[in-house]
Amino acid sequence: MIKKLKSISNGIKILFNFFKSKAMKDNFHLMPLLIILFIFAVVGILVISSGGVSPLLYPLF
Amino acid sequence: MYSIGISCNFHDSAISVLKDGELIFFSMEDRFSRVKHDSRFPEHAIKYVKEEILKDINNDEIESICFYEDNELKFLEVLNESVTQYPHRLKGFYRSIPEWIFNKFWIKSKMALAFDKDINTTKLGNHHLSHALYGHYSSGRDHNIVVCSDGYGDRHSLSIYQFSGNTYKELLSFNKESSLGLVYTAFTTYFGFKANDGECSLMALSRFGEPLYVDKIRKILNIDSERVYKIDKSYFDFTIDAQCFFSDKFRKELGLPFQDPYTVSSFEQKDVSEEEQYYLDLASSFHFVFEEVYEAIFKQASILGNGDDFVFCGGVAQNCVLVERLERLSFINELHIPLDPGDGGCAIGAAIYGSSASKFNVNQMYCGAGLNQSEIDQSIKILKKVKKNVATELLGSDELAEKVYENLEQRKVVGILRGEMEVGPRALGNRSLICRADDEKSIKKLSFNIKTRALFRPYALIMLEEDAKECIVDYRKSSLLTRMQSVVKVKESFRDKLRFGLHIDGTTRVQIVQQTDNELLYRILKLKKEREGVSFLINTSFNESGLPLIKSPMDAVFFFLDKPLDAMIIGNYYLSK
Repeated sequence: MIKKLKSISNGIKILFNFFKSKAMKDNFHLMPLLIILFIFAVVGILVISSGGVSPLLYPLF
Repeated sequence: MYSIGISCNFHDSAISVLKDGELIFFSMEDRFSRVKHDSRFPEHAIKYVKEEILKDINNDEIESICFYEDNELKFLEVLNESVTQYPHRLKGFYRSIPEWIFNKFWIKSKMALAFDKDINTTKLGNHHLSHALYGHYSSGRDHNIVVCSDGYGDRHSLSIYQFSGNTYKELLSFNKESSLGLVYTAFTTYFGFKANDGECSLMALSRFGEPLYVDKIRKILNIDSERVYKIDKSYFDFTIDAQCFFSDKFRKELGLPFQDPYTVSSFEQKDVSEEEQYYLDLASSFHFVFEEVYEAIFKQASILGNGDDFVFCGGVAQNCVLVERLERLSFINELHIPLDPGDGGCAIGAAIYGSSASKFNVNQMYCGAGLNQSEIDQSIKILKKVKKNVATELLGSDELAEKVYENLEQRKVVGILRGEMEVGPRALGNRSLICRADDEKSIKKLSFNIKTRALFRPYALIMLEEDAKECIVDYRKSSLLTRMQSVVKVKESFRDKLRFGLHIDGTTRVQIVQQTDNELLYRILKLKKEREGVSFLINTSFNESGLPLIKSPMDAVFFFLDKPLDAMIIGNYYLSK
C-alpha cells in the first residue's frame, strides 16, 4: 500500500515537472493531445480497477 | 558516494554502479534474465546489486540514480512525429503510446522505488552524452574528440563532442533522418539477417565479395562536401509502421533481398553461385562506401575539434572492420573504444552524468556478476548426481592451465567460467570457450554442435604479444587489440597455423592477452608457447546460439551436460567427461 502511495506521489511529481519542463515549452502544441492521453489513461485505470465497463463504452478505451 | 546508472526500454538494458567515480559493477540484464538483448527494466540486475554490491551500505550513500536518456523528450518526439506525419504514423502511434503511458514514461518513479529513494535523487541523462562520457573517461586521456554513432537516441543519430578534462562541447550532430546506424540495419535486413542482432554477420559477409557495385551504393549513401555525407531517404523507411527498413525503390535498385546468407561457407567458397556472388559483392560495396563515409566524418571531426586523439562510441563502434580502417587514417593518433560502446554501456555514462566525483576510473575489463563459492559447490554436487562419469578436481591456477593445455593438445574444446563477468559483449577469458586454431575438427564441433553458428563468421584469436608482433602485418600496440575491438591482417607465413581463426581475406579479430588482464588465459597461452612455439588459440563466448553469456555455475553445468563440451573450468574446479 505504501509503495502504491509512493508511486502515485512520484507520478504526480513527474507529471508536474514534465509539464513545466523546457522540452514541454518547446512542444507546447502537443499540450491538448497530452492532456487527453493522460485523462484517458487515468480514467482507463480507474475503470479497469473498479471492475470493468459496459461493452458499449469499449471504443472509448 | 555511490552513483547508479540504468539503461533500458530499447535494447540491451543494463545497470552500473560507481563508487566515488570508480566503476565497481556493470551488468546487462540479459545475463540474469537469460533473454538475449533484454530491453526490460533491469529488475534482476537491480536485485543482485542490492543483495551483493550495496548490501552493507546506508541508503543515503546513493547520491543519484540516473537514466541514460531523456525519455520525456523522447516521448514528446514520438508524439510530435505522430502528429506531423499523420495519418502515416497512426499504427505506430497506437502501438507505442500505451507502452509509453503505462510504462516508459514513469522510469524515474520506477528507479526511485527500486532503490527506495526519493524521486529527487533520480535524473534523466542524454543518450549520446552518456555514450560520450563513458567513452571519454574510459580513455584515460584529458583531451578527446568523441564521435558517437548509432541508430538514434534523443533526436540524434550521430554526435561529435570535444572533451577537455571535465568540460565538453557539442561540435556537430545529425538527426534521426541521417542515421547511418539505421542505414546499416536496413542493409542488414536486406542481406537476410535480423535487425539489431545480425549486423556482425553482414560485416563478416562483406569480406567475401569485391566492391564492384560502389556506384549503385553511392546513389543511396555518399560523401557530401557540404553536409559531410548524404543519405537518399527515398530508399528507406525508418518509421515504426515500416514492415522493413528499405523501400520499394531500394528493392528496384538493388534487387530482391538475399534469401539465405547462411549457405555461404567460410572454408570453401567455390560453391557460391553467380547470384550469391552478386550479393557478396554488393555487401562488400556497401561496406566500402560505409567506411568511406566514416572517414569523412572523422576528418570533419578532426577539423572541428582540432585534435588527433579520438574516441568512437555507439553501436557502430562495434564494427571492427570499420574500426581497423579508421585506425589507419593519418590524422588519427590514437583511437579508443570503450568496452561496451553500445546502449548497455550508456548505463556507465549515465552513472558518470549523475555522479559528483571529479575523477573517474571506468575502464575495468571485468566487473560484472561474480561467482559464489556455495553456488559452485552446489552445482558440482548436482552434476555428479546426474552424470556419474564426470571427473571433478579442485586445482590451483598452474594446474588448471596445465589441464586446459592437455585438453587442447588432444584437440578438445574447453569452457571457462571464472571470476567476474566481462564488461561489454565480448568474452575476454572469464566466460569463454577455447580450442585450437589449427584443428578443423575442433572448429566444426564448435560451430555445428556447441555454438550452432554460421560457418562464414570467423572466430576471434587470442595470443601473446610476442606472437602478435611476429604474425600481424604492420603490428601496432593498441588497446583495441587487447579487447577484440579491431581486426588485423595475418602474415601469409602464419595463415596455415591460424587457418580456422582467419577470415577469407586473412584478417582476424584478436585479443592479445596480458598477464595483468587475465592470469589463467595468459598461463594457458604461455604453456602452449613453451611447448609448441606458438600461442594461438580460438576464444569465443561461452553461450548457446540465441542466448546471452553464461552467468551462473548452474547454467554452465546444464551447458556441459547438454553440449559435447569436453572439459570445463568453474572457479577452481576442473571438470572433464
